[in-house]
Amino acid sequence: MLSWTIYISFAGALVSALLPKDKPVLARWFAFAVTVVGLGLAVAGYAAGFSQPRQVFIDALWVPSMGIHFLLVADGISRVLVLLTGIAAVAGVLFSWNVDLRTNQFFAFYLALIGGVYGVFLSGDLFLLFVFYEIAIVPKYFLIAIWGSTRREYGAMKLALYSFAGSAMVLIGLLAAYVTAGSQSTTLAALAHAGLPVSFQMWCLPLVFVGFAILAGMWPFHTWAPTGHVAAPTAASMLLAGVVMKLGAYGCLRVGIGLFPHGLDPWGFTLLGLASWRDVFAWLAVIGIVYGALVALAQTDFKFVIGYSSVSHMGFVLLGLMTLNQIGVDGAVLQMFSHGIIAGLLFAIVGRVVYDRTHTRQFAELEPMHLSRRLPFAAWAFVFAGVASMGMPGFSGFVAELQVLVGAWRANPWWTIVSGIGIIVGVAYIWRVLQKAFFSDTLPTAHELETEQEHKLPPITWPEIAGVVLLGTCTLVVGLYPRILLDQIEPAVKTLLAGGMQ
Amino acid sequence: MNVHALPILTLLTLVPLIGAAIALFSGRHARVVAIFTTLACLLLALFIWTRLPADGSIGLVERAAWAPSLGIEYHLGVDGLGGLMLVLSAIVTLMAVDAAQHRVHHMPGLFFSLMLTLEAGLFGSFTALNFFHWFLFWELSLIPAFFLIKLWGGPKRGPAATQFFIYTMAGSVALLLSFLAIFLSTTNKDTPGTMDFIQLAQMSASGQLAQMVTAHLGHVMPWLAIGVLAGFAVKVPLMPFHTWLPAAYAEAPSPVTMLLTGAMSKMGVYGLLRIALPLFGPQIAAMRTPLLILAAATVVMGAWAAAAQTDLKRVFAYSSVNHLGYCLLGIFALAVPASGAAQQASQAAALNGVILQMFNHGLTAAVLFWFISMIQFRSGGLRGINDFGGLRKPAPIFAGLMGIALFSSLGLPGLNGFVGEFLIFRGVFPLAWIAATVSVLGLLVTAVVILTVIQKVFNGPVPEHWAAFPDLHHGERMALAPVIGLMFLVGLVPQLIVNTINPTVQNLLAHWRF
Amino acid sequence: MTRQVCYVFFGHWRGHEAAHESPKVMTLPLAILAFFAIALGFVGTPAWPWFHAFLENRTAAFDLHGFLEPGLGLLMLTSSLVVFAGLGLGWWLYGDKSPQPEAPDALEKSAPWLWTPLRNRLYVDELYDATVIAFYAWWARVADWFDRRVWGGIVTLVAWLFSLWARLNRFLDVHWVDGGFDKSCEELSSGGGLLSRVEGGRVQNYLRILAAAIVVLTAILLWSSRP
Repeated sequence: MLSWTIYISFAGALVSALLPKDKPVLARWFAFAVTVVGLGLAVAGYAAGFSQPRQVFIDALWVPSMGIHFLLVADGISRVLVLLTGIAAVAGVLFSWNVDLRTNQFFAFYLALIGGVYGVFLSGDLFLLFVFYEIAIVPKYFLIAIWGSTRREYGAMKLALYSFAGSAMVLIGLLAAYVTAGSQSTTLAALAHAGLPVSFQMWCLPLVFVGFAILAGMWPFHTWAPTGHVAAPTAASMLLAGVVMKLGAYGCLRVGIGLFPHGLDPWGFTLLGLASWRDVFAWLAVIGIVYGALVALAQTDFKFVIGYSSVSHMGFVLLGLMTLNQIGVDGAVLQMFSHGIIAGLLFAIVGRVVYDRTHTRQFAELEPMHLSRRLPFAAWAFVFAGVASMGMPGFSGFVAELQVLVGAWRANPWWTIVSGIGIIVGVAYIWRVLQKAFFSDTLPTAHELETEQEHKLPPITWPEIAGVVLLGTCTLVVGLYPRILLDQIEPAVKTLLAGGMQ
Repeated sequence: MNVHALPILTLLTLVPLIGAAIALFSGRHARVVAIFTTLACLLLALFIWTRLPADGSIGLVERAAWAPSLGIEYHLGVDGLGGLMLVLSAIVTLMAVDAAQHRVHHMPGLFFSLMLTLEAGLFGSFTALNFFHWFLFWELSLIPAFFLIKLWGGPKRGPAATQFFIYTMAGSVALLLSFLAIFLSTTNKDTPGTMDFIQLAQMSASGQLAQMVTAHLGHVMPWLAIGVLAGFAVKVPLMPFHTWLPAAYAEAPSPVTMLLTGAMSKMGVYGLLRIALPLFGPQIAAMRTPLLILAAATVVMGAWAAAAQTDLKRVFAYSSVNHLGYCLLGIFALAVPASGAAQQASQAAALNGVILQMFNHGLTAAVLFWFISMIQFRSGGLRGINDFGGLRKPAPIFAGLMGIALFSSLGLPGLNGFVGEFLIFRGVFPLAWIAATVSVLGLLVTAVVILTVIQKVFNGPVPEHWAAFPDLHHGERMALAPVIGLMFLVGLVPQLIVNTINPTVQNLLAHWRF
Repeated sequence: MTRQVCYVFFGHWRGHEAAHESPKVMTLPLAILAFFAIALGFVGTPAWPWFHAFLENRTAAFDLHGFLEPGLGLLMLTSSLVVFAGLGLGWWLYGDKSPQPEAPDALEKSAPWLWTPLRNRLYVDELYDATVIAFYAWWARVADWFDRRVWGGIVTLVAWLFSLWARLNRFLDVHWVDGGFDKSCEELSSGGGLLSRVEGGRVQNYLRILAAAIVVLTAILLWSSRP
């Protein structure tokens, strides 16, 4: 009963808002319980999915005159992403254990966001998907604006504006599709089979795709991501990079490619070497991969590095989608899961473990702190997460990137080669950050050693350890046994690419 | 207990990992844990050596499905080449752990844990027959190596370790991309592609692989070959992709340098023999001349750069480049379509020489760095070639044993260093006489370098402050004796090794097409 | 060799202590060696070509006619003559003379032009030093320089180029992409600001505009209705 994840998240949000403001312990344990139940449901639902590829949970007529259904379905892709959300939600709560300000409201917004995200992944109706999509934007704004750090109002507003701009584009496309399909129904299945004319798809696809891709961090519409991630509190940036960006990518896949596949067909002419929207978006994705990595290499703020690395990794997702072949899209979905976990881990370490103790994210200030000695847990956890992020085999990112690159080879070798440069730069910026933040070579002066003794850093708490172990195990398990996810992703992607029902 | 049912290769890779986990929490006793673990691995490796198939084919195979849609399979196996490398890795790691006696002052648990993880990486990559598994250990072994240099190394360890890591990774990315193209080309509508080395080698030999690549991607086979070669060129290394090596070897603590030169560099040569030559034979044959030029340059310039160094570790770092250059020379020279029995014999000689040289150089270079670490320890940190003199008088046994190792490195007949080099030249002269002739310069220069080291360090007058230079004590003599003995043994009775690897050589050559 | 024998064994004693005979343990082996040194010469006699026979896999016979091999007699004669000439020359120069160590050599006095090059070992060491050794040391420096500056330099250059590219992209991102967004937001804001003044909500302004509009419209109406 995967649909229950949505209901309990929203119910939990409501209850959390009503909890007393001055009892943070109550709020956080309640949120932990709700998210753990959600994760349990997600896991159970995923396991059930092995025997039942397509599950329909509820199909109720919502607005009969317009053919809008309250339709919740799940195929392999949805289940994987719901699983990701479940894991990220629990981890986010663990890493927000130290939030003391208005904790009940914090978790209320948090659970509302989670609920919205679950809803998007499980929606079988385009209108319903859009509703959940919009619902998810509001809590984001508040989470950043109230509990964030650097330039939080600016970051929150920027995020909201970019998101709404994207949603506006999607809404236009949605309405246009609905009308062109005959105003019968807004279910994804119906619209997919409506036989929308190719000329219509040719302009509707880029509109919808770009609309969703903004949230997925496609270049050049990505700048909300670094600012937003830096401004957000730890849990919010974990969710933002981990799950919310996947909403955009999911929309690109499910709505863009699912409903308007012919929008990616060749135009019939070539402009600057580009022959179709597919080429355009693929190159934008490749640019995102390399550009994101390069800019990450030049940052002075720890969190900005991770923010830009998210842009770079989402580029892989978008590239995978544009390969339009089985293995490339498989890789894209796997990368959505993998990056969700790894980005969550990276932001958790940077935000919760390091920043909350050192109160700085600037490398110039972190270098003399010798964190590898004073915070060995953070240092080695970051080694683990950094290595996973750069695509080292044995971790989930490698399998995902492998599939995307193979798919890209098939589609256009140049995409692969340029992405390879992005991978190498990825190694470079992770290694730079690792050394600057944790393993700097400068030996501490006697004075610094004294100061360290006076200002001991707070010890690592059990929720942090639990969170790191949870996320780390996931990436390792998927990296060593990718079939655990691929066995459900592959059939779902096959059906989607064949144009079947969602 | 049915030996064939026991997954001994998996066990071999697991034992160091378990040892690493135990060592991590053993604090001061980590070295003892490490010694036991490496001894156990050595026994396992020797056992595997005795169990190799007599006809030189791949034996002790373990297979299990892993992710078939991606061509990923758990496929392990060893032939003579792999088996020899396992034995070498086990010996070198044991030596390195022994040499780390006094060197590790802080975080010994982590140090030995990382060393054992590195050993697991070596075992994993020498037994892997599927690209995913092989690449996993190839990349993963870089991480412990990086931290071993970074956390316990010399004054310039940061840049040295970083360059080593990023440079090698860059080469690996090129290798990965090329291999993925191969994987893609072997995919067709119904069957997923293959990443299996043996299967791909067969497809390449029959010409099918090149056909498939051309059908899928056009005429990119030469580029794929270059990509694959790039990864190995950085690792072995091939000049001019070697600049990471002197700094890394010099700044790493000596036990780690022993591992780097003794075993890790062999991963690159192994990769050339297991992946590059079988899959890209015709492409490498087409690029043979520039590759031979680079190999000869590696031999000659490596030796000559060693001559200009004043730091003993750098002298032997460049000397390692030179010795590995002989392997490259042999490999590229044999990449010709064999025309006649004489040429086949030369190819076999060259390949036997390459594999022998891998083992012998690994052994000798590791011992040499062991001796350097002993010198450094006794001298309070000095290791310049001009810092010493006449050490033969206060420390005759030390001078004698290190002298043996030095002469082996020089290639003196009777010691192990000679056999590999001799066979390589025996094979390369008929196949590529110009490159061979130029490379002889490398032999000459190496001789001068080694004799200079002996002269400056051991001979001549003894300065006052070295009159009390301590000689080898009992424990060190016991540890070194078997290794020196092995040098004589392999030098005088190389059949012990050649008898097992020659069938593998014949097997490999029979399946390679150029 | 004659010079050595003469100086050491002939002439008179120039040493410091008394010389004594070596013990039997040395002289006996020397005697054996000396016997074989002489006897061995006869093993290769052309009268009994055992080695040739071994190589050709047949038995050899002792045959004095072996000496009649063409050219052999001349070779033996020439060789012997040269040896005896050398012995004679040596005896003439050095025989039975025992000069003081500081005194110049007999050959040095009589043929200094020959003596000096021989004394300096025909300058082979110096030649060697100036050519091979000098080249070796120079090329070692070249190899090292190449390694540090050229190959190492290329790697450093690549790293620096990437770093430059990274900073360029960051500049691009902050000032153009991000800046573009910020700028357009500002424009929107100020545009909104302008618009907000229009919709001020102050009724007097609206009435004023209405009044002005009526005047203008009336004027236009009147103007357009002129004949």
